[in-house]
Amino acid sequence: MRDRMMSLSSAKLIAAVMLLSAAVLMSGCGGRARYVLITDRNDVDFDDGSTRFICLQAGEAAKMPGLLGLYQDSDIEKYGKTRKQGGDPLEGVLFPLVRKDYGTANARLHQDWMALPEGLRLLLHADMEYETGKDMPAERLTTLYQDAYERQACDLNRDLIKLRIRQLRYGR
Amino acid sequence: MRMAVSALLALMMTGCGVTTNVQNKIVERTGELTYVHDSEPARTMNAVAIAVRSFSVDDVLPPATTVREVDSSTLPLLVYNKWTEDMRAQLGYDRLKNDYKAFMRERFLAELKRSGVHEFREGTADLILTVRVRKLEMSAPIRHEGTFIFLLFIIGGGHYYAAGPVSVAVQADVTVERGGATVLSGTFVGKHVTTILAGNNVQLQDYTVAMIEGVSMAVKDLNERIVAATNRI
Repeated sequence: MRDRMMSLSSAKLIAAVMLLSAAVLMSGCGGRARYVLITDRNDVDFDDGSTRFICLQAGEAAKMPGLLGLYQDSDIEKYGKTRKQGGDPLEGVLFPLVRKDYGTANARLHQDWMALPEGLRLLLHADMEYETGKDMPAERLTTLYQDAYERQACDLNRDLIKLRIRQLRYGR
Repeated sequence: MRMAVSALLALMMTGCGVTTNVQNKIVERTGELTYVHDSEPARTMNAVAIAVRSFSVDDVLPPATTVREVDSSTLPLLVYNKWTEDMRAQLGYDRLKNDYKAFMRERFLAELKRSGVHEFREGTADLILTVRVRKLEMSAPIRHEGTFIFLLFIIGGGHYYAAGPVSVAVQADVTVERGGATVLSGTFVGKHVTTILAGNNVQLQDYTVAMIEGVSMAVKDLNERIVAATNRI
């Protein structure tokens, strides 16, 4: 009986340790966000080659403060649990974008095309083509980024577009 | 004596084959010449029209991308030994996905239409521009150095790559005529210097991209300089 109790408690202990280990491992496993939303007031490390930033103007950022500066997938998922469906059309594109759900982001982008700020929709269009068009020539993508470059309301996005071209060159 | 000779031979041969390895890595990648035009677009145009008589590009890039050794040395210090190999890379158009001559021509016309203050016309105009790109100089150094500890046989060591910076200078002869008289004649140089790739785990394939980036940005610089000069006429 005592042996049985011992083996049961050992099994529980092992299970508890395994669960705890899994929880610890999973807390550190949160992937890095590929797209991070910022404003021109953010202090950002642009040298991070794999992260792509999108600058929002103050008015746009005010509509979705919880979606700004999310670098971890886990933070994006947390935001997803609190967001309201059917809100701002720009948020409706940006949320799936930061979740790396490029298919949904692309569909929402074209669905709400006219409701989106011109500079942002052109930049997002180029980004979606970059993410989904694997064999697209760099010159074609550069043309899309060039169109977006000319129409940015947030000045920072022009520097970010030049950084996009570097990422395009180096395949990041 | 025989052991000493063998050890010396081992030391001398440590760097052998490095150039071939580097060459193999450099030719793994291809890329496109491209850049975003970021010059200030012309706000107001004047009444003077400009046309391009010709924009020609000499064979300024070799067909093949190569890496050649320029210097190598070994410093045998009996136990702790050091070796260095200096190489030079040269981009050939075999690594380019697009036609570099067409790229230079198209991007020049785009720049002229963007930041030029003279109205661009096909055929005849007040100002007639002739451009001939006749030289592209590239400096793309690669240093590979390392150390090893030798006690009867090699027992440890390490190595390090420093690739870059890639410096590119594109040179063009430019003339502008008005009514048969030359109003601008000179040589323009577009330049660009890239950053350095360094470390013991450098992706040398990225160096090809750095060379392509260097050419792209030097062409951009050249085009902007020529258009800025024509704006002053």
